[in-house]
Amino acid sequence: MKQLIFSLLLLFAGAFSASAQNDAITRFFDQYAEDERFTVVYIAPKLFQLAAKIETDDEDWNNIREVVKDLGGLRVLVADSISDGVALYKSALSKVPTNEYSELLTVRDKDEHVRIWTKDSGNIIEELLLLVGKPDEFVLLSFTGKIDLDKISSLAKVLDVKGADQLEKIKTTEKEKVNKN
Amino acid sequence: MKTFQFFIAFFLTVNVLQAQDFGLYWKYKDYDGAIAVSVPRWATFVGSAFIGEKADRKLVRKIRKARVLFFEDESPFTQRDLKKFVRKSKRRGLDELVTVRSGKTHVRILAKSRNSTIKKIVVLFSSPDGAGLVTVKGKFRLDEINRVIEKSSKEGKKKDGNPTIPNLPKVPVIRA
Repeated sequence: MKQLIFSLLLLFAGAFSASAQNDAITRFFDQYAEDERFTVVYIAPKLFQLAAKIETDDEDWNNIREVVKDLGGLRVLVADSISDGVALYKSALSKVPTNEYSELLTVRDKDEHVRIWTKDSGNIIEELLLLVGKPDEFVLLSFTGKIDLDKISSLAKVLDVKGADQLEKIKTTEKEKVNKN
Repeated sequence: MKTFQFFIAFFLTVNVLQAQDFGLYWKYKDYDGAIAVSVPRWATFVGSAFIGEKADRKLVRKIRKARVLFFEDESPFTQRDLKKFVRKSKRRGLDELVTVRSGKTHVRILAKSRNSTIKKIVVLFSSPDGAGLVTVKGKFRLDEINRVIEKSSKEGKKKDGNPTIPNLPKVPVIRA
């Protein structure tokens, strides 16, 4: 009986800490959801499901459809005329639960900071987090669902969202890895 | 007995109509400054005759009912109303598709779908220039919608790649 209670407690504690970690990013989104300096976009999984059902002869779309059908949702927080972009970047950076996410890419070019993390279970990437910080710009982008890293960069062309072009860098990183091997 | 039957029928009809927009349209349609338009199927059918493009005409003819509620000034919808609206719409099978907030502009799009068909689209928007609700009921196949969007986006681009405002169909206005 004691063992059962102890294992139940452990299970609850594990579940609670996992949700608390995930909440850190959600809270960051919520914190700026009503801030007028930011643009907030949320695309629900249903829209991706519907979009995946569209059949056309367009080859580009057919490639993207493969990516889109497994996406669970997209949240974007963008600010492009601010003065504290780097401070916001650092604030968001401190809130990313690094034990849960693995860093995929880091770029620092003069004043521009870019970081991409992934959260995976087994061989499946469940979440992709993109963070961009410049003195006058800030982008936080979160994709959820089943994500194919080889194909996610193709979405950069379709998404008319500032900072989404940074997804192209994943393709470059993947290519570099292949060349090294 | 006939009066009773009529009363029951009337009561059910009113309730069904109110359920379509989950109360928001009916609550605010008589507000000061509200522009409320309800377009029945026959009107969309007649209006579609003036649309030149076959694909557009076909899509418009699939509208069973459209409702527009518009306020030129600030949004009168309270947070409580909106929460109630979203709660009720979810209960009635509408899924939230997109939510966008940019500055003081809020846009929320909900839809009810089955397989590859959209049966209802609800757009809720508010900005300093106006606020409102648009509800469109019908049977719209996704590939048909996509075809029209694709066509308008191709037409909407100039040769230099800059987008232009698409030509709107001319609909005659009859004034009483």
